[in-house]
Amino acid sequence: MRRLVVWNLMTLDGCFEGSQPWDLGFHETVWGEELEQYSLQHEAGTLLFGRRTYEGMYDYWSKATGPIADMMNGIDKAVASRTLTEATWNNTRLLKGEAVETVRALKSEDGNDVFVFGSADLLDSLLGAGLVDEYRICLAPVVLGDGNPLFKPGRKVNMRLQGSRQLKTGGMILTYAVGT
Amino acid sequence: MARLVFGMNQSLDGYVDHDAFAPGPRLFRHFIEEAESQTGSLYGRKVYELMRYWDEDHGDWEPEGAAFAAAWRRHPKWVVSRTLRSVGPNASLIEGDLEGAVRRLKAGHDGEIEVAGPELAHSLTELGLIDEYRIYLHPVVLGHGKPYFAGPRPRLRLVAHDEIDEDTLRLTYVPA
Repeated sequence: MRRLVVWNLMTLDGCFEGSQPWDLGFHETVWGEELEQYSLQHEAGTLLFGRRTYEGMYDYWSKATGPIADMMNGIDKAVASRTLTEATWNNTRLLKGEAVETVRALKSEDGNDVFVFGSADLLDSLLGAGLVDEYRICLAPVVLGDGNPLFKPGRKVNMRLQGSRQLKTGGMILTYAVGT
Repeated sequence: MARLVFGMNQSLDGYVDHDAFAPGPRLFRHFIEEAESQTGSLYGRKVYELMRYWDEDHGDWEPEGAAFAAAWRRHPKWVVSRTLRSVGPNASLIEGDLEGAVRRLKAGHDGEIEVAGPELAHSLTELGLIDEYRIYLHPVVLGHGKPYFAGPRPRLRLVAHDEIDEDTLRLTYVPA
C-alpha cells in the first residue's frame, strides 16, 4: 500500500487558510529558503487534491516559474472529484467518483507516497475512512481566530509524534503518524 | 520583576481540555519540577476550582501526585474572580482593577508566575502582560473544546522547542 502523507502549513489555532478561500497570507511568517528546500526534497510519487484545491493550484502554478513551479507542473498529479469531467493540468488524472473508493485504489497501486496539500474537505473523508498515514505540519507562529480549520469540528484523531524540526524563520515542522 | 507564563496542554487542533491529556510519567515529573520552581499561580475561577483537587490528599492519585501537591500547595495562588466569595489555603482573591493588580504582582515578585486558563490569559494578552506562552502540544485532534488562544493575535516568536516525552512537544513563544 502506498502511504498517504498530508503536508500543510497551519497556524497555532489549527487553521490552514484564512477566513477567505486562498487567504494564505500567514505563510509569509514561516516561508524562506529552508521551507522552499523542504518543499522540493519530498519523496512524493503523486500529488492528490480535492477539487477546490486542484483548481486553485492549477490556476496558480501553470502560470508560475521557478523550481517549485517546475516540480508542481511536472510531477504526477491526481484530483478526486465527483463533479469534474476532465483534469487539464499537465500530468494530472481525474479520479472520478467517491473519493474513499478511488483513493483506496490509488493507494493500492505501485509507486511512491501520495502527498496531499490543502484539500481539507477531501482529507476529512479520507481520515474518516482510515486512509491517511502521516501528517507533516509546518506550524506558523500566528493565531488567526477566524480561519478555516485543517481538522473539521468533531473529527477526533490519535497520532504519534515522529519528529520535529525548527526553522530559522520560527516555523516548526512536525511529523505525526496517524493511529496509535 | 516576575515573568508571567501562560502554559497549558493543547491538542493539535488548538484546544485545552483538562480531561483529555492525562500526562505520562515524564510529563508529570516535568510539571512537578515547574511547580517547585514557580513563584506562584495566577488563575481564573474555573482553573482554580479544578486545581483545588491538589489541596486535598487523594488515595488514587498518580504515583507522584503527592510531590506535585506539595509543590503546588507551597506557592501562593492569586485568583481572579468577581463571583467567588472565598478561596482555599495559601490563596487570595484579586478584585478590582486587573491590570493594576497584575502589574503590582509582577513588580513585587521575582521568578515565574504561571497563568491559566485561556480567558484570563486572553485578558492579560490584550493588556500586554504575558511574557511567555508555553504550548505543551499533544499528538491528538479533539474536534472541539476551549481554544488555548481565545482570540486572534499577531505573530509570536518561537524561542525553543523541547520534546518533554515521546509524544509531547513543548513550544515556547514570546511576543515578537
